[in-house]
Amino acid sequence: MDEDRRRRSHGPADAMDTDCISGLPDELLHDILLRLESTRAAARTSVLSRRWRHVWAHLPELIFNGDGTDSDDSDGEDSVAAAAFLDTVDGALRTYSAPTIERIVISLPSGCPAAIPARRVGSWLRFASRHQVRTLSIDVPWLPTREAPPKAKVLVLPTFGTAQDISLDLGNRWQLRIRPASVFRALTDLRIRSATMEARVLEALVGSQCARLSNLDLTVTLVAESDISLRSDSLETLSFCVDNTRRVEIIAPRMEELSVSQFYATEARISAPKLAELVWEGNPDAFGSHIQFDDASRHLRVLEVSEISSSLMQRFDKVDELRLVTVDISKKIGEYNNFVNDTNNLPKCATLSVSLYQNCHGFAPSMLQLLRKCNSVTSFTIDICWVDESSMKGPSCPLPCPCRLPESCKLDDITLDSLKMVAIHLDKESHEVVEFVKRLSQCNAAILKKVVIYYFNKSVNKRFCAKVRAVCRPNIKVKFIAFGSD
Amino acid sequence: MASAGSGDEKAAAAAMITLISSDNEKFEVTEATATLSQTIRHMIEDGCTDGGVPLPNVTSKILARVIEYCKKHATAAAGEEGSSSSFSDAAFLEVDRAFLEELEEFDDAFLEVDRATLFDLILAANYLDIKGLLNLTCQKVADSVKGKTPEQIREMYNIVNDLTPEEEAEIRRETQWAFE
Repeated sequence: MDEDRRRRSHGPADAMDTDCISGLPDELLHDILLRLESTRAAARTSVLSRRWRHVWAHLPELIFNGDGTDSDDSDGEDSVAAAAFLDTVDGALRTYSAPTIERIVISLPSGCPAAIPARRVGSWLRFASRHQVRTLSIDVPWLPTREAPPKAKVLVLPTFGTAQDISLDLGNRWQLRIRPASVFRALTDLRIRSATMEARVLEALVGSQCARLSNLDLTVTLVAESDISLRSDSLETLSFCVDNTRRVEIIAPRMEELSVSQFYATEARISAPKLAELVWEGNPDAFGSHIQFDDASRHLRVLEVSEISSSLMQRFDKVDELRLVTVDISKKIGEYNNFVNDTNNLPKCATLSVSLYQNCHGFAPSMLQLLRKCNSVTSFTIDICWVDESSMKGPSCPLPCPCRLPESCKLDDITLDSLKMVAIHLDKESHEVVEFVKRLSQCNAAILKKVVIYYFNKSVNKRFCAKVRAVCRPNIKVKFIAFGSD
Repeated sequence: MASAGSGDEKAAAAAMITLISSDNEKFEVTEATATLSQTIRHMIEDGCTDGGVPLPNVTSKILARVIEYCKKHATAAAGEEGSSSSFSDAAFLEVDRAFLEELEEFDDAFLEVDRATLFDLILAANYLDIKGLLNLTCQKVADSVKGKTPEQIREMYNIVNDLTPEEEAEIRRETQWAFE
């Protein structure tokens, strides 16, 4: 030991012989230690020398990454790794010696077993509260519902007077409770995911305990099926995914962005006079939900839907940017006809973007149908997440198929006076895309000058390029951009 | 600024600042280069750069290196502004990529310095508040420490262990969770 301590390296230059690092001020040592991205590694520097003993214990941030550098190195069982991780967090919080801390991030290893006691996570929350944290994030991996105990244990969120940003992902394990007397004076951003809560607790939290809350992201299951009413004068954006609801009421006079998913309530009344961006995942019509927007404008900046719900679509006349995300255009004729009917409800839009999942079949007629109905668009973007293998070779659709119906191939009823640019994102060459570009270029679209194809592949297939160029009219510029060659 | 003619723009681009190192050497740099340092940017905004900016904490040797870094990255910043509006354009994407690669190579070569210089650069970047340079240099130190035992770190940086064996044992007990 003594020898070890006295040993000095004898480098060639004399500058190499002095200890430059220990002379740095604490804030710079903190900067360096945080870059280790491991609280364990940072804490190990405490044995370097007397100078280093308390440096890590005053770090402005403590970050525990269960799947990264703070995970157990051995390939032991998940439960062993999880236990070691919990000991690391407990140990570090016990040894930490600064009175306050800026940020705490704890993400548990993804293979965490069911049995994590709520009181342990509760003690981390109390530590964060005592140390006047500004940013807190706790992420517990999701527990499959069948493994979850029938009655969730209660986790109490203490008061955070100084926290501005709290993110809790409780992994479907605990019921989150907040005492009525708690106030979150500085809190502007709150995310609660995979937790159960009582409706009245959630209502009180949003309605009266967080006076400055502007961004709220909820993926919550109510303890018992109930009505819920969220009222906030400060809320600007809301992501709402609350299960086990009957009637939903949202009253947010400053809210500009609303995102709703997995909505199965019977009705929703939304008062949001400033609403500009609406994202709705799922089709409320399919569940017979009655959605009422009291005072929202009929003109939105952004409307994003995963299904073309007629009731939602008819509520808005005009949208700057309409996004149809993962729309399903089926192979069956009956469903194709439904799709055609649905497109009658699309609001007027300037920018239209469509992302398609898997099925590229019937692509050309479906995209032309969208253009037929949204004929005021200036820019049309198509994102094909995955190109069907069969569509690479050529048309292979079975008869009868919507893309072979004569009315699907009609072009003379499509007039695109404003369309300037079409962009297509894809990762494989596709016959259907060639077919679409061919018909597009035959459309009455006088000012269309540019088709850009973003190609998420190492290099652009030359034959595909040539095919697309060959079917385009000469005054349309076709551009290929390849990504993913890094 | 936006309404200024091309003559004025040239004049603005060529506005020069004099930086004076601790050993009294003078360096003429463009305002675009100098303002990568937030410290100097604030001095310019406050109008206290006439007659040069004395930097008593930075030697001429280190200041020359800092300026080399700022010159390169000031051009990069100007390039980014110019091309951001044309993101959809393939040609610009190619230019961006080539430029970023070149910048990365520059940074790698820039870090090929002895340890004492590296720490002087950290102190200078901190004093002058040059975020990019501070990131670059601190990351270099962090990368060198990653995965090393305390003994290896001591040896690498010539840190003298002045803890008694008893003290060291006590700290190891306290932070046992970090060593297991």
